Amino acid sequence: MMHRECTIKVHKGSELVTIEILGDLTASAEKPLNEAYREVCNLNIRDILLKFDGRSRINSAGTTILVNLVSQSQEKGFRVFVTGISKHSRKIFELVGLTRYTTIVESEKEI
Amino acid sequence: MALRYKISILAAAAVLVVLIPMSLIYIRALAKAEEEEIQVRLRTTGGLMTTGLFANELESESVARQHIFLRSALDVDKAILFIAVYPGGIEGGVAVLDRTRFPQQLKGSDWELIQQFVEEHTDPVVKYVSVILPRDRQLLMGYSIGDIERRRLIRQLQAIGWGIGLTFLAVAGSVFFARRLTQPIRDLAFGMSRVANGNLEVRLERQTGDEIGALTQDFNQMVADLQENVLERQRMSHELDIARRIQQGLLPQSEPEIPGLDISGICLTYAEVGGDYYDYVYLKDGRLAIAIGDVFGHGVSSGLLAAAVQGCLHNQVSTDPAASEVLAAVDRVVRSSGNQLMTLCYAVMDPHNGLATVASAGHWPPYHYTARTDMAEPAHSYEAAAPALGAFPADAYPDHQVSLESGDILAFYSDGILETLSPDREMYGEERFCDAIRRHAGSTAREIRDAILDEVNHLRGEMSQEDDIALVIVKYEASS
Repeated sequence: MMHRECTIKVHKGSELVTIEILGDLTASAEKPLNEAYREVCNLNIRDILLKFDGRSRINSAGTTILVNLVSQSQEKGFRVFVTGISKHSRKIFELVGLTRYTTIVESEKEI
Repeated sequence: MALRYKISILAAAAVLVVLIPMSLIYIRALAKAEEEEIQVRLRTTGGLMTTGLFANELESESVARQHIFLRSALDVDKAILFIAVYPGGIEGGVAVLDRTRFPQQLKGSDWELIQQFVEEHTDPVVKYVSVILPRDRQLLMGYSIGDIERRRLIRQLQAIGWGIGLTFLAVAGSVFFARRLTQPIRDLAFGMSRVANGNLEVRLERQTGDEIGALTQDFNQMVADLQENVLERQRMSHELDIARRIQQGLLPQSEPEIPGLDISGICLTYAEVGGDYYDYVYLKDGRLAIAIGDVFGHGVSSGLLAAAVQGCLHNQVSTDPAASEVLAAVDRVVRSSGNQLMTLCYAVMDPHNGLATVASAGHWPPYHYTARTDMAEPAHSYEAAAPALGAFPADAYPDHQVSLESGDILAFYSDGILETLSPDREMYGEERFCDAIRRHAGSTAREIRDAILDEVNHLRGEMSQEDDIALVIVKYEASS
């Protein structure tokens, strides 16, 4: 397999919680990412940053996971920010409509 | 080395570690006890002899009796060589108890002969026990240790023989025990090798009630479960194969033959049933509808959704081929399927004037190669695509007009083309894709399609395909 193993880390700030996604976002990342998201939902923080490592590949399964995550965030009233995605992934975000419900930023400082 | 040999060696070694020291201790104890017994018996015999001497019974018959007694006491036939009383002992009182000379009685000057004999046997062959008697008499008793040493040696050899025999028995017993102990394990190993070779009919008889027996029982259960799973997998594989053939049957079986349009499409799935899909639908007015899509995920569910989408698409196109209507209808089908997503690009080609109407829902826009400028660019911007079907609600499904001139190409594709990776994770990408279209623009649609696939396969090298690939090339040739 060509995939880089995905590691999910959660960093809690005072007003922003960061879900760090290291590696490729594929079907294997569904369980840890959803667990991390559930953990985030229990916090009283309404801003979520999805931080990719800049080299992450997001395949169709990964895109589906993100669409579901962003849809849930919409329902809960969370704001979702995204950083660290490649140009190719950014096009996918635009195509599937993720850019309509997320804000892509260059760094955490822009939030 | 086989387990039974290891156990045999360990058991034999354990026995030898115990047996050898015990044998040595036994031999030494035996020798010591024998030495002590002889000393005791000699002293006893000496005392008896002395008593006999004092009683003036040193006559031949008496001596003979003593000799018989000594032989009996020492239990060694040749042990007693002589008994001498000197000097000036009892008159006529010298007796030599040499077996070779007995019962010959020696007189007077024969004492010199005895002395000579003693001198000749001062080596370890002869030992002396002397008892100083009262009245200047001395009793000399001698015995040869030669026979005793030989007997001791024989006993030692006997002990060693017993040791060797016991060792042999221990080794033989160890081998026998090891074979019995390891037989079920060897049966298990043999059974495992048969399972590894694909024989799932193998079952082993439980021979023991211990852990190995439990292991045998678990082995039988494991093989039975494995056999059941294999049969289930074979059944599923068979069903997947049927599903794959059905899905492949849904794909166009031939290319449209429409004057002005040279079309070639292909769909390569990497799983039994893939999620990529393309289709052609002829419209009554002579136009051709082209759809290419990607159901996210793979397997039967994706294949079923693709089949459902195809039915919906054909139905909707025959009713109202407008992009907004078609995409909205397909979106409803995708949403009704549950938690699945699908991207779809839909286009209607008019071969009479080269006009194409293109709309995308989450799908990569087709590349439009313009022969006049030798440039290739997306038919519309990425932002202009509607959201993926089943994902977010779409306000609208905007369509985009593309005017083709003679020699122009529209290339529809799925993400499996662009996202193919080289072994060092270099992505094929849009740039290579455009470049391939430009380089092969003068070829037929099929040649362009195959050239792109060749490049993709070349880039992937020895790596396996990781996603489905769908590709449709439409080349417009205006009728003169």
